Formats: sequence, C-alpha cells, structure tokens
Amino acid sequence: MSGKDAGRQHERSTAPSENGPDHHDASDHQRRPGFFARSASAHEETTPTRVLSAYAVIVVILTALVVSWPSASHRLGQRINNARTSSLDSRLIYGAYGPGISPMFLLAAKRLVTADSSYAVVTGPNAATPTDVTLPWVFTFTRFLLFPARQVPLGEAQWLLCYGCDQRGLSVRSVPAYEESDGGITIGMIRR
Amino acid sequence: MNLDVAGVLVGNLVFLAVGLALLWALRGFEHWNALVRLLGVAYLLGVSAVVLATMFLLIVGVPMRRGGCLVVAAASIVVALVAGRLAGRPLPKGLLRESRREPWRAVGLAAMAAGLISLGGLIVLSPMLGMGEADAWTSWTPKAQAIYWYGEIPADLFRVISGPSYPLFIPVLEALSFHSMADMNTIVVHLQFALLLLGFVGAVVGLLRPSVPRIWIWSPLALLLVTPELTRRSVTAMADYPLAYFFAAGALALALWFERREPWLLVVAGTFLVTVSSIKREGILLAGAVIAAALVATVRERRRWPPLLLVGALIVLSTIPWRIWWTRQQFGGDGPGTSPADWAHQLARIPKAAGLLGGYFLDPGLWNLLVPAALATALLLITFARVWRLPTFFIVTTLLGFSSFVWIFWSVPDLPLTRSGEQPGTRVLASLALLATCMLPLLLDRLAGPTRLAATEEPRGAPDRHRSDTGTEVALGPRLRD
Repeated sequence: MSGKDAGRQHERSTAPSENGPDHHDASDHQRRPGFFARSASAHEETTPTRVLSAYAVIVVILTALVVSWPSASHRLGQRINNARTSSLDSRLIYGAYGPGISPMFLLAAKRLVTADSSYAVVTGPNAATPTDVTLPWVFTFTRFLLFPARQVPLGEAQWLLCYGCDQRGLSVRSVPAYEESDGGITIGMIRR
Repeated sequence: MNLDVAGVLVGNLVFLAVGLALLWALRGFEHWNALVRLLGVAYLLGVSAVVLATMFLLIVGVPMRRGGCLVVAAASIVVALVAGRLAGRPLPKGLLRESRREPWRAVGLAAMAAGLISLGGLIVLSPMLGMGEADAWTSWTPKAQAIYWYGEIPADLFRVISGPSYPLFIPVLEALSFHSMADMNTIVVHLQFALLLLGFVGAVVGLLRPSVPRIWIWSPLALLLVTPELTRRSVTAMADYPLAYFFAAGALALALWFERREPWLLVVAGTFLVTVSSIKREGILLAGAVIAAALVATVRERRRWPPLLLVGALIVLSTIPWRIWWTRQQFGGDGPGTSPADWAHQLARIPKAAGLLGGYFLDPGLWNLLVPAALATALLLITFARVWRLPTFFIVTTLLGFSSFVWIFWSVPDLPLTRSGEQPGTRVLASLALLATCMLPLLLDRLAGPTRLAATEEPRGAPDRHRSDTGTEVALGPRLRD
C-alpha cells in the first residue's frame, strides 16, 4: 500500500469527527499521526480544486509579502537609524511633540524638580499653544515625566511650573530657575 | 547592552521559566524538540501566570515589590513542578530527527527568514523608542509607575490618571519590567512589548508545528510582520497588541483543542482568554466572542460545552475582584457612559461605525491582505470541503468581535467616525487581524487536505512507534515514512 493510500484509508476510518458527534477516543487518537490527518473526514477527500485554491491563496499572500517586504524593511531600517541618532532627551519627551508642549520647558523641569519634591502646574494664555490640547496635556505629561515627584495643589508645592500663567495673580511667589524668552513659561522655586 | 535592557531580558527569562514549569505540569515534554517548539507558548503562559497572580495580589492589598514578584514567580514554579511530578509528567529525553515532506520547502524557509528579519528589526528598535502614543503616557505607564513606586495601587493617584477603572494587566506588566531594570526606564520598557510580539510569533509557530507545513505558517506571519499597522504600533507601550496576542493565541489553542482534544490546550486557551479580559475593557467582549463561537462551532458535539462554559465562567469571575476594587473607590464606570436610550437616538452611528471599521478591517494599507485572505479561505473550505467546524469558529469569532467594536463605536459618542486624525479604530482591530493570521495556516492546511501532510517527528532507531508530545503512543503508518 502506498503512503497516500494508507493515509486515505485512515481518513475514511475516522469519518464522523468533523461535522457529527465526535467519536474519538483514546484508541482512535493513537492511530492518528498528525492532528489534521486525525480529524480528517470523508468530506475531506483532497481534490485538485481544493489544493489549487489553497495554493492560490498562498500565492496571493506571498505576492503581497514580496511587494511589501522591501519597503517595510526600508522604513524599519530608517526608524532604527533615526532612533539611534536621536538624543536621550528627545526620546524622554517624545510624547510632548504631538501636543506641542515646549521641549526646553520639560527638560528644564526634569532637571530641576527632583524625585522627592512636589510641584504645581499652572497654565494660562501667555504661552504659545500650537494645539487645542497643549495646555491640558501639560498637566498630564509632567505627571508622567516627573514621576515620582508629586503634582499637588499650588499651596502645597515646592516648585511652580507656569505655562503661560499670570504670576501676579497667584497666591505664592517663586524664585525663577528657568524662563523662556517670552516670559510666559517659567519654572520657579516657591518661597514660603 | 545597558543594564536596563539586560534586566528586562532577565525578567522575561523568569516569565519563560515559570511558563515552562506550568506547561510541563500540564502536558510534560517527551523530548527536547517539543520543549523548544513550545517556548513561545510557555513564555506567554508565564507572562499570564505571573502578571495575573501579581495583579490579584495587588487588588486584595498585598504590597508587591521586586522581592514579592520573585516570590510569586518562584512559588509558581514550585507548585507547577510538584503538580507535574504528581501527575507523572515525563521529562524531555533526547532529540528527535525531524522527517517531514514540506511542500514548497525553500519558499517556506524564505518566508520564515523574511518574518524573522522583520521581527528582529522591531526588537532592535524597541528599546530606543520614546513614548509617543498619548494613551501610553496619559494612562498605561503612569499607572505602572505608580504601582512600581508605591508597591500597591494608589487610589488617589489612579483617580487623576486617565481611565482609572481600566483593567490592570498592562500596568502590572510594565511595573514588573521596571522592577527588572535599574530604574523606571520609560524608553527601554518598549522592549517588553517587543518580547511579547516575539512570544506570540513563537507561540503560533509552536502550536501549529509540526503538523502544519512551514509555508502555510510563515507566509501569513511574515506578511503580518510587515503590515504598516503592526510595524507602527506593536512595540509601543499600548494594550491593543498584547490584547491581540493573547486573544489570537487563545483562539488558536481552542481551535486546536477541537482537533486534538488534549486538555492542556484548553487550559492554555482559558488562561490566555482570562488574560484578554484583564488587559482591556473590550477584552471581555472578545473573550466572550471566542467562547460563543466555540459553542456555535461545536453545536453538534455538545459534550464539549461543559468545559467551554467553565472557561467562560472563569473569564467572567476573573474580572470581579478588580471591579469590586474600583467600585469601592467610586471610580467612573467601565461602560460606554451612555444608556440604551441614548443609543436609540444615535442609530445613524451604526452603519457609519460598521463602514469605518469594515474599511479598516479590509484595508490592504493597514493589514495587507490577511483578513480577506483568511475569510476567503474559510469560505472556500466550507464550499469545497464541506468542513464546518473550523471555518465556523473563525467566522463567528470574527463577526462577534467586529460587532463588539461596532457597538463600542456606536455607543460612545466621543469616538470619531471619520478616518481623519488619530483614530483608535485602526489599532483596536489588531485582535481580529491577528486572529485571521493565526487561523489562516489551519484553514489552508485543511483546504489543501490531509494528504498534503507529511510526517511528524520521527525518532531515531524507532521506525514503527513513538510517543507523541503528550505521551500518547502513536503508530507511524507507511505514509509517514514515504
């Protein structure tokens, strides 16, 4: 008996498994060399149409792979090169580029506000806001970037992170440690 | 290699060790080939076990720092080894010479090489990435930082972080990564996500081999690894891809359980689906879709239903501790924030949502051709072979999963229904696209027919009989040696 004949005979012997109640038991299981052959049914008699259609699908997949792999690999290589050449600082604050938060402000805050200290963020209209989410996300991004330093209400803070705020209207005074050229963005140590 | 990268790698070896011990307890390893082949499954199982255990301990108020996490891992290994010993699981002995007739062997090897090169590139890239995705730095990673720093779930801090009631799996996983580093390195932590991708690919290959030819497995996988959507987001610190890995691998394990009826496959599937429900809110919908599809696909084999229903019950039960915790903290709900009455007023969103998501689903520019190819293959299998169970399981899972996403986009009015701007629809469909990629090799294998199969592993010097991976003695018929 050829190999294929034996396989087909085996398939017929396990016919009811796929669509009807499963009659497989341990002895049945023992006869089965591969799990697809094991559950093969009479319905699964291989036909040229089935084989051809399977290979047609795989040819489509392979064609898509051949077409897309070179450009995808090129893009991935570019990303790796870009990542290699980017500075640690720019990676640290990468998420802030989208909402348009000042990178220099964030890096200064990272340098000044130590892990065991606390800070308050106050925003206002006196800073450039490239996007609608710039100001609200100053709070969120500094919480992420400066953790474990604690973001607290102004009255409890050691540092003031002013992003466009009007300092004259605040209840506390601070000693500026960082100031951007337009004066709307400052970081100061709060005096008690 | 810096210390943080080395730390993440060592931490992931701990996951692997836990997973190997658990897998040995579940099924044993007759030979080293089986152990090596199932490394990916073991890794994902280890991640699931350690992170879920740590997460539940945190929820019940046990402080978890580096030492505690190591105790959890060590305890898991000891329990698994004792259970395996009691169950008489075999230790791996020797290597088997693999003797297969592989269709299109060279093409299969080339596809595998292409896939591995792409995967390697993503792994190299990952520890150099900045955290750019807004969801990562507004929600997932700040929670991980808080858990890492305080060794518990600080309710006050969670309250001001976006999505406080979201499931905890990803923050706990990231916190464990931080514990394995010298510090909270929010750049190197991306390596953790790349290793999950590696584990997923390994798990898919391990589950499908040796029975499914390499060409069927690696062509879809290699194509997946160059899809624009996956290459863009899979190594970001987001939950969508980890959700997709466990969802697709769990569904695949369940599909294989239909065929092989080996209990360990059901346990692995159940563990992965519990993990899915602990990763994102929609996870419970996706896990429910898999169980519901499995019930439909086995409607004529109802004796399979009790274990399936048990898995479904465990999935639901696993979400309860976290729900109780955040409810007691009076965090916002985890539903869409609208009522059925609101939904009735925005029925017009249904066709828009379905059109938008369907467009993404079938867009070759996002997922290449994987989803339509898998759906077409399932239909071909039904048409030409009158095979129902596997294609039914795949199609129903896909339809239910897709419907879940349509419901989410329908019921949450804040979600945009246009393709412009940052659209979450592209990434949430990762689960279904990866499901298609996992199921395609199985579907193709069934379509091409059993006679396309060649031998499984053949032991040296044992021409007639050998033990299968699970210890079942298997007769090698003539067709296996031709």
